[in-house]
Amino acid sequence: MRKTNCLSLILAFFLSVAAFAQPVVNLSKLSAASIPYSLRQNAIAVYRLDEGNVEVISPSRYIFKVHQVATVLNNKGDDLFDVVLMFDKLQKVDKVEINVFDSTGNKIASYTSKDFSTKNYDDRMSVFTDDKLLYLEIAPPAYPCTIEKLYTVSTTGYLSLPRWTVATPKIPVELSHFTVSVPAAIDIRHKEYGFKLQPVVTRAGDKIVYQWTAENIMPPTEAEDEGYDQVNNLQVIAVSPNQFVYDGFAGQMKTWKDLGNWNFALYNDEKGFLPQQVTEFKSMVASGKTDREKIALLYKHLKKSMRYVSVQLGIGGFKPFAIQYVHEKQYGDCKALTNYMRYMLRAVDIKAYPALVSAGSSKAPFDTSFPASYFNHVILCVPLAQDTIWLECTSNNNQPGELGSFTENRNALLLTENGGLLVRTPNSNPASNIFSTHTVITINEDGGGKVQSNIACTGDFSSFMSEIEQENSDDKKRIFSSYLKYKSPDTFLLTNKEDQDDKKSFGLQLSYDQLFAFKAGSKMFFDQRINKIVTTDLKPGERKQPYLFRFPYEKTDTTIYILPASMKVESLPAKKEISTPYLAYSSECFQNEVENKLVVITRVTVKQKVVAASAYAGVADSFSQLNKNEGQKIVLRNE
Amino acid sequence: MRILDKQFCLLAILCIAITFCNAQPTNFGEFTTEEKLLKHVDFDKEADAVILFDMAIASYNDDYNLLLQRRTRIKILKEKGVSLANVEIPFYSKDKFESIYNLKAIVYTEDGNKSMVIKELQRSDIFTTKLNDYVSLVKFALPNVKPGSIIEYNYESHSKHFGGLDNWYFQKEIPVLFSSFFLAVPPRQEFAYNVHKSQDIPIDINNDKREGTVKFSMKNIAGLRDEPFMDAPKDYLQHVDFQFSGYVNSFGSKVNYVTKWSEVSRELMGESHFGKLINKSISGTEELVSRFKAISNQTERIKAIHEYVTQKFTWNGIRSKYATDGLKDCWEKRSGHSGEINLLFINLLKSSGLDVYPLLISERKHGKVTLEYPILDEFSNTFAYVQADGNTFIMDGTDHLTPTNLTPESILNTNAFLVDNKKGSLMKIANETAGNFTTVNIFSTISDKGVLNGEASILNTNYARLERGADYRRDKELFKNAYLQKNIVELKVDSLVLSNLENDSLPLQQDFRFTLPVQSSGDYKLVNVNLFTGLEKNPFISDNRFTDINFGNRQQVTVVGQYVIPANFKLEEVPKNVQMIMPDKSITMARTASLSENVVLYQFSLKINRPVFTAEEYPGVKEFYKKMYTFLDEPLVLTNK
Repeated sequence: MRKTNCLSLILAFFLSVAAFAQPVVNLSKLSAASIPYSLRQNAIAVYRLDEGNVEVISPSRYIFKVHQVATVLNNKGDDLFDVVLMFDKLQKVDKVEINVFDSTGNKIASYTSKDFSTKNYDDRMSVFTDDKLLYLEIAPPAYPCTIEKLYTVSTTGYLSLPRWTVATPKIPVELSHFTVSVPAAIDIRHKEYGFKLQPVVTRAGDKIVYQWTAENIMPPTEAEDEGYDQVNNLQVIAVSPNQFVYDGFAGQMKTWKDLGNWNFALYNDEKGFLPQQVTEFKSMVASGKTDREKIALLYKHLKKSMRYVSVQLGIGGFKPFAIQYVHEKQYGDCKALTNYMRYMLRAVDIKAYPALVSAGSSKAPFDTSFPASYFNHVILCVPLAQDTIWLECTSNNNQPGELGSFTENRNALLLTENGGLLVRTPNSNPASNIFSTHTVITINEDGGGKVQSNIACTGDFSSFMSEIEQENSDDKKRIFSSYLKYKSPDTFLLTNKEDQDDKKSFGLQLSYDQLFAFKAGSKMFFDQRINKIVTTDLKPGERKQPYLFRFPYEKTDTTIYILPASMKVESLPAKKEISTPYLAYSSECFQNEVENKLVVITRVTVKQKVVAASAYAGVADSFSQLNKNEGQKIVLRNE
Repeated sequence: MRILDKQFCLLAILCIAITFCNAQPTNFGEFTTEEKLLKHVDFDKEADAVILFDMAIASYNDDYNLLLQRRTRIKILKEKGVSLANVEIPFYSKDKFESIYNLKAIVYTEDGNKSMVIKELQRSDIFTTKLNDYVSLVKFALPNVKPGSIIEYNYESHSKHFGGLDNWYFQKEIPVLFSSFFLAVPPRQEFAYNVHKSQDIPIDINNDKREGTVKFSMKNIAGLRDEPFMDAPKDYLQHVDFQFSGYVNSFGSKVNYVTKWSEVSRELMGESHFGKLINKSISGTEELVSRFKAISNQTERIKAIHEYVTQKFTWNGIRSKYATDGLKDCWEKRSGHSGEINLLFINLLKSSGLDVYPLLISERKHGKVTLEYPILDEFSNTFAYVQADGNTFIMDGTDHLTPTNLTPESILNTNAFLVDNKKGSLMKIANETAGNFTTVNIFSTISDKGVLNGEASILNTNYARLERGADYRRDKELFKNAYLQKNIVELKVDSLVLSNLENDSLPLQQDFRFTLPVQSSGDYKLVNVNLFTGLEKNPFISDNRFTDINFGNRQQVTVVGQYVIPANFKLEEVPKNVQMIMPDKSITMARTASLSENVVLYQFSLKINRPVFTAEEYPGVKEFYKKMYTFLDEPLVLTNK
């Protein structure tokens, strides 16, 4: 899907935006002295004026004028001096003017478009996109200082209208003014988030004018770490077209059905597969007895033959590459690969539908009551008589039906011949993300030892391990110790084992000169296993926003210690169990005196991805108990 | 470098059959059976891909433009190597200096049925994107690439003149079987080249003076990858660089470019984009300069100018040593390239009556400079060198962190060139006295419930204080997390007070209170004594190392901790006094602990007495760190009385 990673940038662009054409700013606004104390307290900058004016001319054309005056109070507000405007084939920057004032309001520098540089926007993912940036980095003079930005952007095609961010964290706003004028015949829809503010609606000839004005707005609190993206936390006016024309493709957006109709048409491939290619796919699935098996065979073929390559040009940001192009190149982006898979299934008479999603493991849910173009990714949905199979077509690792934390637990817009339909992707399930280890540790008299371990994993763990598999030995060792929290070994060997069912399997051989954590007198203190079973720590205390685990999971470990005859058990960790709606944990250590062996069996289940803010303190507390128990040592003594 | 150190490298190379390299590479798109069958490279067994050959021919036309033909063939070995099929060719696009044309690319892939598929890149799949004002990229994704595929591409480049001749790197991140560079030197041009290579890898140089051509080639070079505390990769990559030293003009007389260090100063001081900018007063600075001149103490004056430039001017992120467009724009916009800001800085110092010289430098991360003769391209930046009040000040006008009296850390242990008609000379930049020193003092009590409560004071001296001070100014909460709480979620830090934030000559002092529940294990309490040291994680766990470790400066961490044990507990055992010293005393570590009544006095110190350790010394350093971390991880063990 187009512009996945542009999102943050586009946001930055519209955050920093405001409007013009209004009366010249009151000169006192240019002096830092006139900011009320109540606003500047704890602020990094203050918007003195933040004005945006959208003039919708037709379903393909609007003009967006911005006039913004911001006083920057300290160096944390320096980002306001980086002016970045995006443009492409359909969106031009017509005019830009920047003025910089010192603390008393004297103009000390001004810039126009000729002072700006341009470059291609790099989303760090695509081989090419046609998005370009006009940018200027200005050196802020002594603080406080004021920057005034005036610019005009116009389009010859659009899918969305400027989203007006009224306030962002740490930057209060003295006056925010947003206007949208639109021909009554096409009108727009609007919705306010993060605060209650209704527009004044007036009629001017055949146009409707919406005006929002807000004064002395205190900024929203900052997003907490490990929660949903910032986007959820802003004060925003969303405006969405009812009709639009993007790169010559006209559509409606009043309902999800409308938007789905427009998108569905883009996924229609005139030529599709050639008859002989269809025959090939048919013979490829000949051994499949059920639709499920046929899907698995074709999905396997897709994973084996295709690679992810992103190129986004004009409507190509929304319309997949042609099937024959993908077939020839054997690469594509999410749209292209999803549609390719869809046409392969069609060749064997299985119906499938593309489903647009707003992907990302910490992406906040979008507002289903306000149809707009929220999407940055597409997956494939194959409804079968019994259940539905979801396919992530850009993956080279996933099992059929396995989506992963990137696209689970959210609404998706299913594109069908009857238009768009909102559906839910599957909820993350701890049982689909398994990491299970079985480890035998042979300890020698000096407290060093050899370790033989088997690892089996599924889901997100399996994707992670597939990446590690590609690394060289030293990097594998580093990742095991820094990410999977293994005690850093002296020798390290990770080997692939044949996958069992849908589990990825590895063998791990390690050796340590010193396996114990530390020694006190004749006593050696050993950790319960060579790796930390839980690698996340939850900060104790309350939260205001939900906490997100990357994904729910089940981890199980069995560690067997084989002790030398001279070593006796001094003390063992006590049995421990925790069971809450979010976390299940059990750990028990058994001693086999006859064979001089110890067995530690541990299980952890993180049951849910999202922890409600009100439940967080309790969950953090159970993690703290878990970690305390994990810190219990096995104490051995040499005799 | 992942599987071999230098000695292994030599052995491996001796053993390898040189099947691939002796034969002339086959025609474009004609792949040999050996290439098709190649599954891995013996001298770099875990490589994602291998460059089968990488060749370039540089020549000239009637207008003495630089013409380059480049041809590269790569075999993809692993899934991760497939990303190499997304190719980027950078070129210098400012003022249309360079253009890329005649790009052709081809892919050989065996499909499942062992039949081969050859696909060519189509013109419509080639894109050009602008990276910044100077550099653009030609980009393309090759079709149908999988592990086992062979990709090949060739292209020509046209540059306005031989100033566009880049260094040739034989070595890459992935192994290279054969790499060659052929250069036809334009008539009447004289040039010098300099080969940077490890002794273990032979180079073949074929210099035909009569024809005016030279060809360099190397075989079987293992890949070079990033390592912690590593210098510039360029210092380790096998490469050759070029400098044109002069030409014979149309009247037959020889015009020399710079070939001797002694000539560099004369040359540069006469340049309109360098020396001439220093002595010419910049209009608009008169009032400022007279204000500086009024400061009678020279050291104070230098400090004032340094502060003025670093605070008022913004560096646009581009490194340069010259100011090609003069200084007027830089002065007016208060921003510019590093060369512009620094030459303006030097100009202000000079106009204010100080004994200042431009100093050509190359940061450690930029790479070492050749000492035998000048290759100006090896320098990245121009700093200010001032002598005053019996002291030397080396300053960077774009660095607002480093105080005036401290040499910027980025250039410690490098060679620099002082530009002056009389005093011009190469010099080694070292700072023997100022190091990176951290002292942690802890006074704490363990409550009978098992909570560690205490006060701590951290002192950071010289280089250690720079980043901390800057981060504190930026964000106090982030500072607390980054330096004090780290990832210990149960550690609570409060009442943080920083002293000497503005006084560079004193240690940056951080006083605070903390509490941390003590880990229990059965009847034991385990008190973590490795707090606030910055030594939480051993950086040297890799088995192999190819590059030198460069700490930049001397390092020292000292911990003095006092732990009061509650009446219901006793210390299981006093930690042993230990001392470790590298044979040459380059690193020392000592830990002592003693118990007096119910108070444990714990001391730890680590001293790194020299900044650079060679790759050959790595096993020793690694072993030292491994042992040291076992001591650092050892808690105080308490038991119930």
